[in-house]
Amino acid sequence: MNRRELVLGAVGGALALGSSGLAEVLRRRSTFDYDGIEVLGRGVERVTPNDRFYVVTKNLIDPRVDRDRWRLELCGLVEEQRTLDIRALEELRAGEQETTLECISNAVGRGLLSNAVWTGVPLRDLLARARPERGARRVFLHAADGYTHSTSLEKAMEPTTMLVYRMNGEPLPDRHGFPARLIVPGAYGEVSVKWIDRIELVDDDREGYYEKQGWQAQRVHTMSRIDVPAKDGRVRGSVEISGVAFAGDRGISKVEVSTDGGRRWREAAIDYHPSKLTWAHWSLQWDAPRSGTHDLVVRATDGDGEPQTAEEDNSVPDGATGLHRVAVRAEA
Amino acid sequence: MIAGVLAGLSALFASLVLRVAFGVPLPIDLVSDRLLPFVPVEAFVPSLGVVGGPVLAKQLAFYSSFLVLIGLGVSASRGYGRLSRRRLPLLAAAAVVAWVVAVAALWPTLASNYDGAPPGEARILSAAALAVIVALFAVVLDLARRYR
Repeated sequence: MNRRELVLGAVGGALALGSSGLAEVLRRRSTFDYDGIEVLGRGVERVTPNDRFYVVTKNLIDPRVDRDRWRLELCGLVEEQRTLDIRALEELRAGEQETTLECISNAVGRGLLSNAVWTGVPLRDLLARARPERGARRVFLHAADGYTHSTSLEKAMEPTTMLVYRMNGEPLPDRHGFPARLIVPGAYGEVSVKWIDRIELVDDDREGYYEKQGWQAQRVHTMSRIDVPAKDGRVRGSVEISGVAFAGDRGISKVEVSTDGGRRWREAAIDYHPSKLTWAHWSLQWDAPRSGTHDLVVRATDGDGEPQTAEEDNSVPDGATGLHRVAVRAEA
Repeated sequence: MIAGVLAGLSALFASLVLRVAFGVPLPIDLVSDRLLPFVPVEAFVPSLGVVGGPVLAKQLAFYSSFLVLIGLGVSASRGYGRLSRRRLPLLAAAAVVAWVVAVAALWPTLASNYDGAPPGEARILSAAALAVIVALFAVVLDLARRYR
């Protein structure tokens, strides 16, 4: 190896070292450690702490949006295009709303759903300031990370569709969309765009990131899940069976549990269900037999009286359906 | 080969600096955001399963994109070495074409910025960042081949 090759090798080594240092900085900020965290099992809290709230993101590294630099643009088919900074947003009359979000990829019995108290303003208040034109039909949402999604103008104008900037009393964490995100009750989480920076009113059916792939996220299926006892757990004596149920913005009117694989059903107590927009926590006391394997099954009925479908289907393209079953072994 | 590796490493280093300092999307962010929406969900979900789930897929994409840049450098270096004359003008022309093609192909995704730059500013930043990355790649390729 001659001197020139040595110099080039040294330059290459320095570049490789510098690159690996920067890559490590990004790896530490990456979504690798938290993408797909779930909330399930014993100890599921009624309001999910921010650091345990489920996360599903398209990003390798999520945005860290500069609060002072952030602007929200209301544009498209509006009579008066508006741009707000975070201070202008915070000066508007804010409200709190407890809302559960669920990921469309949440499989039966899994934990990609969580519940939080969000603080912000109804989106319709903002849209009213921009005055939608008569021809506007849909709202196309843009985020800092290039993510997009659409929803109907009708959904956007519902009083529960909110632009929020606080989560459980704290500023939104970066991974949950700081400084502002949308909350769209009734739709799967992918519609509740994080790091939102542009709201565009349109008269066409343009599709966002996951809509182009074919996901259909506008209506959450009624779901229910057994958290306790755990799958393949051993039970003895009087046992509390408990879990959660959720039906988007339709609420839960009834949860039933079977301890014999679905032949007979008993109604569970609903212990927590503050509004139609949240999950219900339910429980049922069961005197377990002294032996045998028992197939516990849960089903819910939404607030409109529509029972949860038992038909098993994976999450593609409009969310999973089917009943959650947990086999347990009884002991004397 | 060393010139190509150096060119690829320079482009990689520049893209990482721009991501850390200015929130400019990495080339893998731009390319995946441009292409993934067109993968039907019926193929998208199983393909994630093949590589062991979304997180492993992301890790694979993140790290393999580094190797792709270095591989591009090696390929470009070989092609550059085969040219017998008008090498520099051809390299400059190739760099300009590469930048124009990249900006045109990635146009919809250039408006993203991970530090929250507004879309218009973000698009200029991303396009400028691509210009820096491509230019650095070409300059280092040429200098390294001359120097060795």
